[in-house]
Amino acid sequence: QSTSSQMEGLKLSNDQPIQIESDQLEIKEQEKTAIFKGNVSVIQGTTSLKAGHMVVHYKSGGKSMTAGNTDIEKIDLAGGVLLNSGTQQATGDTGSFEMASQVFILEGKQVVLSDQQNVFVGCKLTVHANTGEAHLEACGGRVRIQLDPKSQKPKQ
Amino acid sequence: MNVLTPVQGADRKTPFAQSYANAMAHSRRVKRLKVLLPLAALLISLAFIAVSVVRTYLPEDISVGGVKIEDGKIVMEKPAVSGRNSEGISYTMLAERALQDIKNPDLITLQTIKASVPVTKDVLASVTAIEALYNRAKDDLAMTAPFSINLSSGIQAEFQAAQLDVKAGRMETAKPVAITTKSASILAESMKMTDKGRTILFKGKVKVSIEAAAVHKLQN
Repeated sequence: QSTSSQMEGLKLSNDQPIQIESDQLEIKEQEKTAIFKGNVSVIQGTTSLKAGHMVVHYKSGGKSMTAGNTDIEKIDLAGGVLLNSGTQQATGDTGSFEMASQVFILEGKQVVLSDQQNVFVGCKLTVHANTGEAHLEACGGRVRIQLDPKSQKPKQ
Repeated sequence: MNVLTPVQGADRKTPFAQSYANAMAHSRRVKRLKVLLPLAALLISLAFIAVSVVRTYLPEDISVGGVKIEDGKIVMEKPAVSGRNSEGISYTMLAERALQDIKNPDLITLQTIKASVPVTKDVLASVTAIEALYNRAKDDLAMTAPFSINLSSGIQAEFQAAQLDVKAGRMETAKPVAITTKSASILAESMKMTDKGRTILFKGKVKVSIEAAAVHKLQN
């Protein structure tokens, strides 16, 4: 049983700069990874992502990273993830983002998706960053929805 | 020798006084020469010893513009050091001046440096710096003043100071560092590069910014 909604804000716009901050960054050429640790925050326009730990995986093959190779394959997030964009917010324990499919997945015992006053709780949220479409799954349990009577129809 | 300068105040005196004054000046000159000549000889021999010492200690692939001695240090003009790192990739280090401590010939202070150091097989780093202390025994470079490194891959790095291990391609700095490429930049309070540039660790207020153009490229 799942609920889906449009998370307009969660669309990654591809013409805005990205700002990443963290306590530490380790670039490992051999494993083609860049590991951000400690208060990681990724900001692009109105979308922000916070996590305790973020690993960026670069496509293997091709030039080395010090040679400027920046084609990212996948991003893994852990240590508590908070995705925030415009009026919508989602929290979970871990997350991942596939560059090719543009799919962002947020998982955890309690994945909470809130949109203004509406709060949805499940265990897995899948967001298609290119369309903004989001699915919240309850994995066996029921998606608990707490609708705010006053809430209008979510804007398209 | 300096030119024979006329003795002051000799014009108004009687011929006798004049010749006496000249004699006095002459003996003063002799006295000075008695000191200057041996000193000059000593200096020349020292320089000679220095050059031979320099030749024996330094790796043969060092060329030096000129050598002189200044307050206990051998000063080499336009020294150029080159060698090969463990992977056989050559590195070179040019400087305006190199001051080698006579007591400890392994310590060489380099001034206005241009070095090209292999970081990885396909990436060469060119280093420009105001001053560095090169320890020939340990083959490492203490960069004591701000310097910049340009990687042949289009990455530019600005440092305040650093410890650079030339042969192993290892570098560490506890001071802020700024790294910029065409479309991204990394700022941090410290950096440690090990394993010939294959592992780079930034610590302290790390800020990575990726420009829109690069973001666009990321996604297609």
